[in-house]
Amino acid sequence: MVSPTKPGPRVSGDFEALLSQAHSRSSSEVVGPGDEQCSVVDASELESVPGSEGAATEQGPGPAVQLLEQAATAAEEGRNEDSEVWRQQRKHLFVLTHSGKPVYSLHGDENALAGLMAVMDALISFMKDQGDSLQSVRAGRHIIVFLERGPLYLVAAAATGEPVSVLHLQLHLLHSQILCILTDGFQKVLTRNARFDTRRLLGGVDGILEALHTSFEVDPSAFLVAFAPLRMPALLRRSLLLALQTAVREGGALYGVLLAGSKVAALSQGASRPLHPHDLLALGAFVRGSPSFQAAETFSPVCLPHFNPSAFLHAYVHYAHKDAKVCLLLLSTQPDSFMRLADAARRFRAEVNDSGALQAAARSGLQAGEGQVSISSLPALAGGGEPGMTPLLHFLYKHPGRSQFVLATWDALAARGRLPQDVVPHYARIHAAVFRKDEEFREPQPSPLRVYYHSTDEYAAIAYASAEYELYALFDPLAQKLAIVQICQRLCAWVKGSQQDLFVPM
Amino acid sequence: MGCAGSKGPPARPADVKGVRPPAPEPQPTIPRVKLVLLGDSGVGKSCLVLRYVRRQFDPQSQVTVGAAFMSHSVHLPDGSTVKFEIWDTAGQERYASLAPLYYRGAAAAAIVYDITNPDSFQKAKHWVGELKKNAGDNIVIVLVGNKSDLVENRVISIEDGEELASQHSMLFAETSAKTAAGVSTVFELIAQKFASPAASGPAEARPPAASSSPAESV
Repeated sequence: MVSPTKPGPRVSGDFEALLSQAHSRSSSEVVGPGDEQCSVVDASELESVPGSEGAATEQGPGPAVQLLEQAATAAEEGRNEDSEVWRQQRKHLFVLTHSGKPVYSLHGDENALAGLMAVMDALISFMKDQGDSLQSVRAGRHIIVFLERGPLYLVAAAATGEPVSVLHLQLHLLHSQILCILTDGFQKVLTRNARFDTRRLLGGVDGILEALHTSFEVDPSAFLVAFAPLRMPALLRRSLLLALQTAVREGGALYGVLLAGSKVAALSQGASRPLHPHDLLALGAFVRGSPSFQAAETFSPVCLPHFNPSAFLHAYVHYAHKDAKVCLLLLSTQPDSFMRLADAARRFRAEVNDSGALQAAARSGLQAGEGQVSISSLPALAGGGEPGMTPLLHFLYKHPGRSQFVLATWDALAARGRLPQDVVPHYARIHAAVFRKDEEFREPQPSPLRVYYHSTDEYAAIAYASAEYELYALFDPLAQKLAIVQICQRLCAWVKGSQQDLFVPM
Repeated sequence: MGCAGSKGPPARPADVKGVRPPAPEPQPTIPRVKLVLLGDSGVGKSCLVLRYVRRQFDPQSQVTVGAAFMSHSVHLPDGSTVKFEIWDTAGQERYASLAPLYYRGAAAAAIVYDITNPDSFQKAKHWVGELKKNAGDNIVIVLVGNKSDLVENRVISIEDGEELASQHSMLFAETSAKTAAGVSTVFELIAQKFASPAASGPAEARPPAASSSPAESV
């Protein structure tokens, strides 16, 4: 791993220029304007780096023409870096092996991007040869972040405004998601045999990795290290939970999870090994990204990297309510436990159907925003009101003790033309500022700020952090500070008063 | 998801509480046949099962993750009934090492290939070898050439399929999950092997969680 104590060198410059120059090898420098600390990457040095010989332009004239034609077709189809559509994506995620072999690209086709991946490999290897490690590159609006995990390199290039720490975390979670599908066994194979083609093992997983990326865009689970509970009446949740605990016991399972879309309706786990929120995130993406689960009861191996990155658990997966995407998961260590789990699941379904708890979960899951708190339904003193009638635009409340968070619906922001994917990076920046994670690699971690306030043309953002709660809220930029503070206090009181319905008991 | 719109809980039509364990039911001994589908990814295993069990076909069918379970009762012309417990396994390479979990103890296996894809035929041969080696002598195997509607793209002839099947004394059928041609034949071919009392031996082969259902050993 990279050494966190010394700040990583920054190779700075215009992103496009960096890519095209490094790719065509026509120029010797990739230096952008206006940067303090730049490393000059020389093209001749790039060529001397092992593993970079895949670039198109190094071939002889005959094959080169062919390759250029292939590249042109790929560009037209949006599969490689010459395509305009590809370049305009807000975020790219890449995975490649130590030897520069492409493993995954979020956009486009990783095969068509082999040349670009070879360039990334060359950049990383170049820094490694100097006894250093490449951490991040700022290039215009883009931040490019690098992460090394075993025999894999993970690279993010984002123009989303998310801070380096958050992109770094997303790469870490992308790696975890791959482990969730494969365990870390393939890394040993890959370390022994650099020519091993990891893509063979990752057939049909694009949906899962895309579901993870979607969660990065619209939900703060990743950087909050928390999960989103489904809002539902406490009494009905209680009967869901009891039925789930019974199913876990009868099925001999380790964990039971009832998902409703991207929310968690109930959770049954041993007190000794609680599910890590990031394992829950991986599990959610695994389920949402695998539409085949909706067709029938399924038994699938799945690895929870925080639980054990080297072993599979065996998951019984079944959609108890398809329209509301209510999905029951029972996780067992036994590879032959399907029938037992299926029997336990059948009794679970009968019980929650009879009590009406399943229908309540489904109703909540089917609501706009899957039962998120609507600002118009809040008491007026806590900032409630229709869009335009209240200065409160949006809020995010984390219950650190339970590792859960509550999110407001997006309608007030939508009325101002802001989408969740514009706002979540904003929260990510506030969170990084409060926890002072953005000053990269500084140790020891300073204690978080208690109160944070920041105002732009678009929002006034406020954050409170304590051991009992964290509140992040966005207000109209013209709102008075005093009004903001009062609303925040009432809002916290309201959440505390409603926590039986809002949070999943642990 | 094209499969949406199907009504009710998918598997096990008799999804009422605890029907399974108590033995004293009207029809005391319906033979249960554990059937496993094997084959390369994308040959249409899930489509075959969904076509047969639910009479649906989804051209955008999604890649299977893990193994999907469905059960279905077949009523044969002679009045007998067989209950299939079908394991539709994922064709992806990363699941290959888990296949024994599903074929071990299976009474029947369908090895599926795509008549337009020679690689999938090679893969079928691989599965034949693996089953012959590891799955026990009594297992009934049917070789299935799917996508028979794609006549122009056919690469594997009927004769190729038949030859492979006869070499290893397997049943053989060509199907099209899209048009339904030949699909029920496959399942009825297998069912007939288990419906007659003479063939009750292999039917004792148990599902993976044998421990949970000892009552059913007929």
